This record gives sequence, structure tokens and C-alpha cells, in this order.
Amino acid sequence: MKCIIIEDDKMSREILELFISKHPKLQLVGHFENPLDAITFLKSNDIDLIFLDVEMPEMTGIEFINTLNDILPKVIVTTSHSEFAVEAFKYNVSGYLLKPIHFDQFSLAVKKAEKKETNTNELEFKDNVIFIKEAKTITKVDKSEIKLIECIGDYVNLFSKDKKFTIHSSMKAIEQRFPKEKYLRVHRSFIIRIDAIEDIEDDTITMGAKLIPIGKTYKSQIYKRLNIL
Amino acid sequence: MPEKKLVDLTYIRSIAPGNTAFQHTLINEFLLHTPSIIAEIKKNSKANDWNKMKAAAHKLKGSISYVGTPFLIQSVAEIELYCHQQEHAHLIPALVDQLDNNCQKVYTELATELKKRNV
Repeated sequence: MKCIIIEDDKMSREILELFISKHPKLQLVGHFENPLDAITFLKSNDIDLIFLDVEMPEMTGIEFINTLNDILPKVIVTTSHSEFAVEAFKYNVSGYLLKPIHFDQFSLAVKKAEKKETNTNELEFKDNVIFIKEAKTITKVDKSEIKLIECIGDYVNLFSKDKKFTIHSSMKAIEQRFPKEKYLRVHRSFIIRIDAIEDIEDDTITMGAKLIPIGKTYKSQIYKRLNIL
Repeated sequence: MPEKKLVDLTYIRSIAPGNTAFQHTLINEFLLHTPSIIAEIKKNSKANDWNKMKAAAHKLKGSISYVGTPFLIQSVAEIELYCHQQEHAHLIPALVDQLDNNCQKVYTELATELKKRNV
């Protein structure tokens, strides 16, 4: 797993660097004192995991998570304050580590993040094509054919025009794997392909025979994206 | 009777057993950076800049926990709390002085530890 550290305290950074060097599955590709530099880096680099200090002068960890919501990889929060952990978990972080951090706690948090990562491996993307694995069958599907993505518990349904694929994954993981310029999260349980929208009435999207509700928290962002005349 | 130690390097030893170079690096980092953070807290205390003082005090939290000095954590936590509440301003200078004095003792002990290790 490619990872970065965002931490303004040098001693804390050096401890994390030591732990990462000792961990067989982690590869450190960058460390940042300033979260703003990390944002620039993340926009052009593919990273699997971030070790994120919650309290930094330029930007708090929570502000950082909110800023990068669309392209955020797995996050393990590091903090000296246990009360920040409760706040951090609202943002679907993989785990949190309370300073001073011990290697066994570190390994456990990485294992948990890795598990979340593995669950998303049912999908492998090659350019415009996705390979969807259901039980023992792997089906090649043109990415543009997926019009609707629906989350039900620990499973995700991907709908093409005439087929439905069901895989074990999370909405967050799937959302990261579809191009955000073409797909839109409209509800905690639904992602749609923008060009498949037929009409919207009373905050309900019509897509063929399906009616998709727009979630309250997504509403303003959706209408902003739709370029309405 | 030997004087009671102020620092406890159990944590540093436990994360890098046998890796004395790394242990020394961390101790040196503490000796190098803590005085400037204390100076920053003092400067902001004089200027009554609560937010900057709180941020500077917070920076110490990680590093002082690594060298096993819980009595320093208590002072830092109190400074952070008073800054957050923006109350008890009259107590802060004494707390900062106490923190500074205790840190001086910790620096001496850590420097002796490094000397003992021939660093």
C-alpha cells in the first residue's frame, strides 16, 4: 500500500516513518508538514493510505478530509486527543491512533485499513473497461454502460442497461473508482451517471423505470453540478 | 540516595529496541525543538494571543509524551485549557515559567543520558 504522512511534528513523523519502514506491506511515498502541500500531491498521485494528524495550524485534519472528500484514500488519524477520534469516525476514517503510538496498535490499524482496501478489489479498471467479479465469473463491462450504482448494506449493485451486477464492497470504495466528472453521488445509497438522467421532479431523478431520491445533504452540490439553465 | 529521574525513555526504547541511532535522533529532536516552542509560548503569552499560545502548547504534547514526562503534560494541558477558555490569564505566566523550568531540568537529564551513551 502506497502511503503518505501528514504531520507537523517532526518527532511524530519520524516515529511513523520508522513504523512504515518496518511494515512489509507499506511503502512511504511522501511526508508533509503542511496539509495544503499534501492536497496538491494527492491530486496527481495515486495513494492508498494517509496517516493524518488531526490538529495542524494551517488546516485541521477534519477540514482536510472534507476538502478531499471525492478523492480521499483510506485515512488513519493520529492525535494526542482521544476526543478527536469520535469526530474523525463521522468521516469514515479507517482508524485512529492515539499518541504515543505503539507498533502493535499501528499494525492493527493498517490491517483494518488493508481489509477495507481488499473489499474493493472486485473491480479492476483498464482505461474505459471494468472487470466485475461475481462469484466465479468475471465480466468485462464498458464503464460507460454503468448508469446506476446502488448500495444495500455491505453489497453494491451496479446497473447497466439490461444487467445488474452485485459485488461485496462499500459505496465509498466504489465512488472513488468511477470518474467524478461523469458520476454523481445523489444519495447515501445511490450514485448515478450524469448523462443517464432523464428528468428531475420534486428532488427525485427519473432514469428509465427507476426513480432515484436526492438526499438532503447532496442536494445543493447536485444542482450546482448540473449546469441548469 | 539517587535522585529520582524526571524522564522515562521506556517508550523510545520500546519502539526501536536496539536501534540506538534512532533513539538518539528522537532525543536530539526533543532537545533541538522544544526550547523554540517554549519561547513561542512565552512570546504569545506576553502578547495575550490565546490561539497562537494554544497552538504552540499543543505542539509539545506529542514530543513530551515520547520522553515520558507526564508532569510536563499536565502543565501543557492546563495552558491549553486556559487558552481555550480564554480565562485565568493571570495564571498562565506562572504555568509557562513552571513549564520552562521543568523543561530545563529535562534537557539536562537528556543531555546527560546522551553523554552516558557517548553520543
